Amino acid sequence: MSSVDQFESVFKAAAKTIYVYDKPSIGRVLLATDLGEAEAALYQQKVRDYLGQVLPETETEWSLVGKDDFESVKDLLDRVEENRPDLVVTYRNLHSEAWRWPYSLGEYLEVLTQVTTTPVLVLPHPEREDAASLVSDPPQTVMAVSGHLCGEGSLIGYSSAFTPKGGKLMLSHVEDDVTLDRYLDAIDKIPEIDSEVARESILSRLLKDAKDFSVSARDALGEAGLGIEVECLAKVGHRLEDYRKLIEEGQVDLLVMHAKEEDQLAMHGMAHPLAVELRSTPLLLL
Amino acid sequence: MNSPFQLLAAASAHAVPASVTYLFLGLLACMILCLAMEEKIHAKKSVIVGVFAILALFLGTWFGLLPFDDVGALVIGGHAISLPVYVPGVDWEVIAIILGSSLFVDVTSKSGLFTWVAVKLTKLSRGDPLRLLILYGVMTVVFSAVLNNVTAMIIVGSLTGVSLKKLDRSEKLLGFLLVEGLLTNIGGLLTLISSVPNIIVGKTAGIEFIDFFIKASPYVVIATVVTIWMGAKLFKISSLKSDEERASAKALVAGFDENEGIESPGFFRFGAIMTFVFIATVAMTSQLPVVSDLGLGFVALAFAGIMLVRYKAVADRFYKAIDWDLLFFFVCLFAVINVMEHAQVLALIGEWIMPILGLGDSAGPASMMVASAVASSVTDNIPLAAMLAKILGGIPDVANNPDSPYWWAVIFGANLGGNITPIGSASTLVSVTIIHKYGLKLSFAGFVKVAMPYALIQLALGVGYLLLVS
Repeated sequence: MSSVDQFESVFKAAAKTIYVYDKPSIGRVLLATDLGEAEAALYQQKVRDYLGQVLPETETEWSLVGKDDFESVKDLLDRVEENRPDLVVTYRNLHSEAWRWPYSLGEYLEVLTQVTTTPVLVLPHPEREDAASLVSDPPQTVMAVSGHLCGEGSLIGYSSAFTPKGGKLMLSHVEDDVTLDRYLDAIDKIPEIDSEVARESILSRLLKDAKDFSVSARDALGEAGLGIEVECLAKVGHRLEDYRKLIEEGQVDLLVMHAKEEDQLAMHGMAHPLAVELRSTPLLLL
Repeated sequence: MNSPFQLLAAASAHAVPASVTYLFLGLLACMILCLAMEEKIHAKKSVIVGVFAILALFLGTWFGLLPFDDVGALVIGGHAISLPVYVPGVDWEVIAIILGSSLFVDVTSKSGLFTWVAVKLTKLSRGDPLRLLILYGVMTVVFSAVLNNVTAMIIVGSLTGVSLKKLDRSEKLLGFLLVEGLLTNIGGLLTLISSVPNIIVGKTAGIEFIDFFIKASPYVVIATVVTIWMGAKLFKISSLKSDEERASAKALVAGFDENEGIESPGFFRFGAIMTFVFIATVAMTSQLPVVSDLGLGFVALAFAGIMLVRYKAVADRFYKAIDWDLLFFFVCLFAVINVMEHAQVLALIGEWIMPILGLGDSAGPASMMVASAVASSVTDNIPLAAMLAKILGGIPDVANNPDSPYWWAVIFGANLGGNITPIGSASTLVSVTIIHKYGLKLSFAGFVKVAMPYALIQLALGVGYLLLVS
């Protein structure tokens, strides 16, 4: 490695990305449901109560899209386009019985999260036996699930917006150990690279960037006077399993993550498996 | 009456046939040509000069030019010592200074001191391009003076790439890097140990560190201000206009963390203190008892040794990082120059430059400076400095006068010549390497075209300054 590269690395590491607090505006909320009119109204009230602490009634305009308002994905997209909401609230497997099997999100949700730029709050299906209890208490602990964390300002902005005063925001980042091991195995086979140094340096660097950004986010949110506790978590592990464990241990009430990927049409990295499997935890997909 | 160079020739133990002298002169010319074409022939300096050292020593022995009798019967401190004939010709003090100071700088840089200073200055600029150019320019000069010009260019150049990218001002990168590259050779003039020509010529002339600094610093200040001013004008680097731009730039540079490169706060403080003590000791070497006898080389090696204690278990890592190419280059170069001296080549070249000395007290040094600069621009300035130092050292009037303008003409010329072409000095070559690393196009001719106005003004200032102070 040349001296220029060495110093460049030090300066690149010193040039940190800092989180700048930018409060997202969530004034218009659209609830999309496949329930009948009366049930939909009841359900809407339940959702409004659930989000009351973070979306005050006086500052939020709610609209409802019920069973008869859409029969196809295009219909739903048209309703969203007409309403131009800042947030869509819905659940998995609209107009389908597939919600009983934890293998899909349903065509409506999958398309909605990718086609619109509006964040989508995914609640547990209302026909679940435990549905009422899952959204009975307002979220107190919110976890942001990041791909890189570093530079994901909007993720932290929305996560903090859904964390009530006195609540806890967990900024989490789990580096996939399987992918990492594959790269480190490749490094092990390159004689020019000291495997032990590479292993230690890559691991510490990956986690340090995420931690540094979390710390800057914690400082910025503190300065913004939101009155929330911010915890930073960065680790290496098997991502789905570790997130499950973190959610259980942290008693997470709401999970926030990016659903869109710039260079692909499918859902963002970990978002799809988490959204499919974590069916009892409300999710905010950005 | 004999000319000074005839005296120099007479100092050699034996007469040398002219044909042999010309043969060795050809060898020297070939070596200089090969050094100038170092990039083209894909060979390291040490290998090029090493091959010529082997040839020179072989031919020198073949023609019976080398003093085998003298080096075979040396008596030092009452002990008879036999040395290989190529050993006494090497200036080990110069080698010790270069080895010691590069080790010291390398270990000290691990404390994060230099990157801390660099990042602090970046933040101090608040992201304003003009302020950044001024601060980076001054930092380049100071780092070149305190460390060496190659290390200075590496540190400032790599930071420039990162910070301008962060500020979204990559279009200004060429201007910044070029100005910094040119300033390394200005900063290289500030102290006796800032560049190798300074060390070689200064040591031969007997110039003290403090005297060197006092004499060179006014020029360095003026040339730095003029170079930065020209850089700002020619590359259209100006201050930010609106409050919005200023606020955005300030926020971007605020993200820099100056503590990132600091592994241990204790070692950082130790590194800072040792750097100041090192500079102070180097400055006062000639006044300090005991140390004055041991010399600058000892000081540099001793400070490197003290710093290495921090990394005692992994000191070998630093030995691996030493620029062995440069050190072997010097050793071999000194051996070649020594043979050339015995072959009367230096006396012959001295005769050729006699007309320059004959131009008088003003035109003589001025012409010497320009000639040295032109020669340094197309080949390595180190052989030139070593050769001219040896030649000037053979002229009694110049040799006995550390204030002679001829010494300074060679020092200024050898340093400033590096700004005319990209191969003129190692630091401008580093600057061009960084320019190419960032995908910017700058050919040899392109560099000369852009750098020539700076080099001409710096040389004109140098000539004027030299005439003023001598």
